[in-house]
Amino acid sequence: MVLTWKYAVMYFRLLSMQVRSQASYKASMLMDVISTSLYGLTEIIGILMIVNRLGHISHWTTWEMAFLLAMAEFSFGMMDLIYSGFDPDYFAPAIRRGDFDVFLLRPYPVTLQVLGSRFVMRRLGRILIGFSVMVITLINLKIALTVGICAYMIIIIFSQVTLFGSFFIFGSTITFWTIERIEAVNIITYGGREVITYPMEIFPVWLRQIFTFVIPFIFMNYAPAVFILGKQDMLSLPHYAPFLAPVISGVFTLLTICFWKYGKKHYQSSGT
Amino acid sequence: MLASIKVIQTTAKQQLQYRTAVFAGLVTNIAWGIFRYYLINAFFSESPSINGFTQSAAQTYVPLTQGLMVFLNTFGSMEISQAVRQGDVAVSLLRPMSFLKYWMSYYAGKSFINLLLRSILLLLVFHLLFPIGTPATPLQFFFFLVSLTLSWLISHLWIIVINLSAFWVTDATGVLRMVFAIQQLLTGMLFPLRILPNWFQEIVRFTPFPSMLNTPIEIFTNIVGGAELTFMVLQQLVWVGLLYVGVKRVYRAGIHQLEINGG
Repeated sequence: MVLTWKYAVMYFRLLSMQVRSQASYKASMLMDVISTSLYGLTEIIGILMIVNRLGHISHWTTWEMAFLLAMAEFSFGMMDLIYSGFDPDYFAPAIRRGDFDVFLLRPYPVTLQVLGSRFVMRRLGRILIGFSVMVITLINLKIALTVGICAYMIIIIFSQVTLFGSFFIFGSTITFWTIERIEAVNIITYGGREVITYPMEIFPVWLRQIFTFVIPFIFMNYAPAVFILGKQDMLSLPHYAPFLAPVISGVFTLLTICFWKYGKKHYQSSGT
Repeated sequence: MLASIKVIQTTAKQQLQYRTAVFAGLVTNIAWGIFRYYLINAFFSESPSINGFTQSAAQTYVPLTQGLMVFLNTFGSMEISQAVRQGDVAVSLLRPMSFLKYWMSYYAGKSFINLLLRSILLLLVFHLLFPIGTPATPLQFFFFLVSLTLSWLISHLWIIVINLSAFWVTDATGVLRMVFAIQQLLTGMLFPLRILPNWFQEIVRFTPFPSMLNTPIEIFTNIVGGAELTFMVLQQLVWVGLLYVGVKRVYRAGIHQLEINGG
């Protein structure tokens, strides 16, 4: 217990170090936050302008589409912030430079050190955009925010964050062997974020089956949104579909933790 | 001229060294293209044409944008701003060729390899998966090639000119990121411009952005022809001229006020 407390303190110290160093260049950080938020914002505005012109995409109205987008944007932003250290684009060079070897020498859990080694504040841009659009859509769609719905949304967001986080850890663990980051991992991370923002009916059966049985994206955002917005489910998913998200992210997190531990044990350094 | 060719060769060779990275990028590009293909198709579930943009044009639009993205550098590049910030830009004064010529040759070498390994391969793969339309006449295809060349010039002149903002702004990265983010929507990279609201198109029409990507795509997919096509290509020519003068002026002004401390 004492030890866990010590580790928690250490983690927050590492984070506050990151925050303070980034916040010391205030104008530059503000600019970074704004520019990062623009990436999500242009995509959301673009798609909303189109849905608005057409009236709907498949069975989803403009605001319902916005809800799908906002949830994904918020979760992915949160994940990108919390798991910054595990971002394969950052982790692979760290392996190459031998930064990771330094972590192994310190008497603290390596995983915590990686998590604390980077905390990219500009991701707040995505988080803020996701959150604001989410609030605006909920108001527009007149969704009653009961305690139940709020709790459910928090669980879904938590599941999305940890699922994408586990993909980041997976992508980083591979670099123990490859040294280079593997770009194909982007298909499940950034590509996955893209996929969960679309209504799943638009995909053909073969892709939907991949998103159901291989990487079950369908239960992460689509099924929960159908449930929250009280929409009719066009894919006739089982009635427990909206509640699978935490189970799926739990399984994926467990698997990647095992993989990460295995990778760490067999890590041989780049010799730098 | 000879110097330019040397630079093009060198960067092309450099880019070839990253073959695995290029192919890995290709795989991601294809997966992404497939996801987007179905999204864009879903727009057309009610009617086969939105504001003159047909579903078959949209089906060609997706692989075309995915394929040309790296060739045209639609996501931007920050190399020059870093060279300015670190003072490396001073080297350009020593080179036996102009700053603009050097960087355009540099990008040309990279783009050439990307065109061969990524654009063309991606279109071939997509051709096996989905129907891809082609220009209706050889003349239309010729205009596509002309327009694509102009797009390449505009896109890169634009990248250079905004990168030069680093002469005055200490942290140009933020500015560049902002521009590149908005650019995705304005060039027609995210969605075909024609299916966006009319008022939006009216505003964008007066900017160089559609000339960077949207124009060659509308030509390839036979959306425009005749007088409209001629006008759009002329517009591209005007932008090449304006940006060329712009880059020259901005660079001169930047170098003029530049002070580099040795070290």
